[in-house]
Amino acid sequence: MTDSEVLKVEKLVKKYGEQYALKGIGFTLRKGEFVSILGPNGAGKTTFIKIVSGTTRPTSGKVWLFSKNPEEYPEMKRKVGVLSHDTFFYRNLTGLENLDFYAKMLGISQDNALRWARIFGMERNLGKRFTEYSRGMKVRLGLARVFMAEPEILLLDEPFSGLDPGGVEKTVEIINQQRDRSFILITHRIDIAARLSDRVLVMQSGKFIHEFHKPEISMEKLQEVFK
Amino acid sequence: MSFFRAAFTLFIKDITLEFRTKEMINTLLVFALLTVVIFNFAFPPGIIDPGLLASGIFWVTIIFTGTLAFNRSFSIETEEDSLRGLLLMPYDPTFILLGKSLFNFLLITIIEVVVYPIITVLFRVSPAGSYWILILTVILATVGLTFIGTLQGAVLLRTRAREILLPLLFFPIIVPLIIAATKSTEAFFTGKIDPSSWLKFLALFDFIYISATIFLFEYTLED
Repeated sequence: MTDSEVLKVEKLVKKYGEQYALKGIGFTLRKGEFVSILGPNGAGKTTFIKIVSGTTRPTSGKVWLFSKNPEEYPEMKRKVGVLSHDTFFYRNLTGLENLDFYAKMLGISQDNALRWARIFGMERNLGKRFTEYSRGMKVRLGLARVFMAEPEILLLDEPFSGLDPGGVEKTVEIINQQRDRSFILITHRIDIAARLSDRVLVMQSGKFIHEFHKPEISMEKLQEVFK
Repeated sequence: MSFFRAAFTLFIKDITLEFRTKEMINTLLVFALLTVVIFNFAFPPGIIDPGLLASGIFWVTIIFTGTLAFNRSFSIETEEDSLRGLLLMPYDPTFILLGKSLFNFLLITIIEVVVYPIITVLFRVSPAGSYWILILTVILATVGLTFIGTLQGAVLLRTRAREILLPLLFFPIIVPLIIAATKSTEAFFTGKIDPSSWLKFLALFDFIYISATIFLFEYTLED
C-alpha cells in the first residue's frame, strides 16, 4: 500500500449461507479521491461498505485502512465516517441527544456537533425527538453525525434518499466543499455520481463490471451501462 | 481510557432512554412481584424452614426477571441498526458488553433491593447473619448473572424466537452460580452454614464468566 492510498481491499469474498454477496473484489481508494459505486439493488454495494467500515467480517480477503488492518487496530475506524440506510440513532432521544451521544463516544466537542448540525440545516429541529423527524431530516442529522467526527474517509450509502431537491443540491454543495477528504458514494443518482466523481465503478452480482475515470465520466455513458 | 468512557457513555444513554420510557423497569418490577406472590401461595410459610425457602425464592425470582431484562437490553440496538453505529466506534467492541452489563447490573440490583424486603415480610424470615454476607452475595452473583445474560442477549439478537431460546441457554450455564448464591443467602438467613466457601465460589465463577464473555463477545456480533 502506497502513502497516497488510504483504503485497500484485496480478493474480498462475502458469503451469506451459499449465496455470494461479493465475489473476490479488489479496490483502492486514494487520498482526496471521490469514487461512486453504482449498481442495481442486491449487487453487493452495501455489503462492501459494511466490510470496509469494519462492521461485517469478510468470508475471505483483506482490508487495509491507512496500511493497517482495522480488526487489529480498531482506532483506525476514527478516520472513517459511515452513513447508512439505517441512521444508527435512537428513536426516543432528541436529535441533540443523539448527536451528543456519538460526540461523547468519540470524544468530540458538542460545539463541533452543533456546527455540523447547523451546516446541514438541522439547528431548529435538534430539540425534537428522533421519531418526529421526516426521512429527509433523519438523513441530514445522519450527515451531521458523519461529518462532525472530521473523518478522512467518508462512506456514504444513499445520502440523497428522502431529501427534497433543495436538500439534495445543498448536500452536494457541502460534499463538494469537503474534497480534501476521500469519498465512496453509493447512489442510484447517476447525475450526481457524474458530477462529483473522479472514478465511477459499476457493481453487479458481487463484482465490479465497469470502471470509468474522470475525463470519460458522463451521464450519457453511465446511462448507457444501465440500459 | 477512551474504551471505558465509551462503555460509560453507552451506560448513561441506556439509563436516559429507560428513564424516559420506563419500559423495562416497570415491567420487571411487576413481573418480580408477581413471581414472589405466586411462590407465597405455592409455599405457605411454616412448611419449610423460612430461611431456606426465602433464599431459593429470592434467586429464582431474580433469574426469571433477569431473562426479561437481558432479552430487551440488545433489542433496543436493532432500531435504526444502532448496534452497527456502536461497532463503528474506534474501540474494541467489548466496550458494548461492558456498557450493557453495567446497565443490566443496575436494573437487576434495583429489582433485588425491591424484592428482598417483600420476601422477608411474605415469608416471615429475619436474617441470622451479617448483612455483609447478603451484600457480597448479591454483588458477586449479580455481576456473573449480568455478564452471562448480556452476552446471551447479544448471541440471540438476530434470532426470531429469542424469548424462548434465552432461558434454554441461560439457565444451564448459571446453575453453579445460582447454587452458590442460594447457599450463601441461606447462610445469611439461617446462620447455620459458613458462607465463606460459597462466596469464594461466586468470585471464581465471576472470574470465569467474565473472562469467557470478553473472549466470546466479538464473535456474537457477526452477521
